[in-house]
Amino acid sequence: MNETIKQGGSDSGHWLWFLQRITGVGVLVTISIHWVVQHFMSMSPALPITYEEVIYRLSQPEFRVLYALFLVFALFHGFHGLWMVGRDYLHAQWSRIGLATILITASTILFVWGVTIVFTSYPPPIVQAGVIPP
Amino acid sequence: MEGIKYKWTASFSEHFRYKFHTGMVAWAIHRITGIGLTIFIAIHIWSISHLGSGPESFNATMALYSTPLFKIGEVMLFAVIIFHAMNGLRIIWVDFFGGAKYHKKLFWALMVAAMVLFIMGIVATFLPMINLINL
Repeated sequence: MNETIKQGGSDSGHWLWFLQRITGVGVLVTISIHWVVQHFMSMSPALPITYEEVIYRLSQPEFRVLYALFLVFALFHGFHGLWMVGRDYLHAQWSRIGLATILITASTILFVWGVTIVFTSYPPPIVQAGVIPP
Repeated sequence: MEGIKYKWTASFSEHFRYKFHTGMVAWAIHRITGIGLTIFIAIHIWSISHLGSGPESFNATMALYSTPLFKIGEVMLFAVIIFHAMNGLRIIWVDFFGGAKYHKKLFWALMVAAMVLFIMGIVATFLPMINLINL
């Protein structure tokens, strides 16, 4: 057995490990802001959140940036986390490639879906015109 | 390989080599909660996608989430998020700030902080509802 096993992982593995920590902090910051807005700045905190309130929030650029950042942080952190878990139990190369394909596909679909919602939600024209206060 | 005897019929405990100590339990719960939270993100995106179907569809979905069963689920979700976040901070502390020497103490200190945050969060979430009932 002349093969040598490289210890410590590759450079890309090192960066992924680092990004897992950075995105974890990113998720914590963005989800904390979301929680405060949801529970302390809501127009009716005791009642279910309404379509009008969410649409109004998503029509503001700062909230769009916040939720887009949340999607980037949360989807990377979550799906890379799933990869780290799966990699510990799957040892055959075909199974790892299969898992990576599923995770990259699912996270890409969720990201495109989420970003589309965040950036294409506008108040109905009647609210935009100020006829009904948001 | 001389001197090592392999049993062909190893017991379950020999296969199940996890050792139950603070770090290992925290590691296992962190992974389980992480899997759950990733699934929740997908469900959350699906819920918010009801915005595209108009006010009736979206408000009906949100009304469903305000039923007692989902409120219990919300409390559990909150507990899971706080555990995952606090243990995640411990991992960062150990990785970047030399916390390995006192990681057990750090774990329990953060769990106390998690409990305080959990109680504060529950009060903040449910107090407006109690006030509404009393009105």
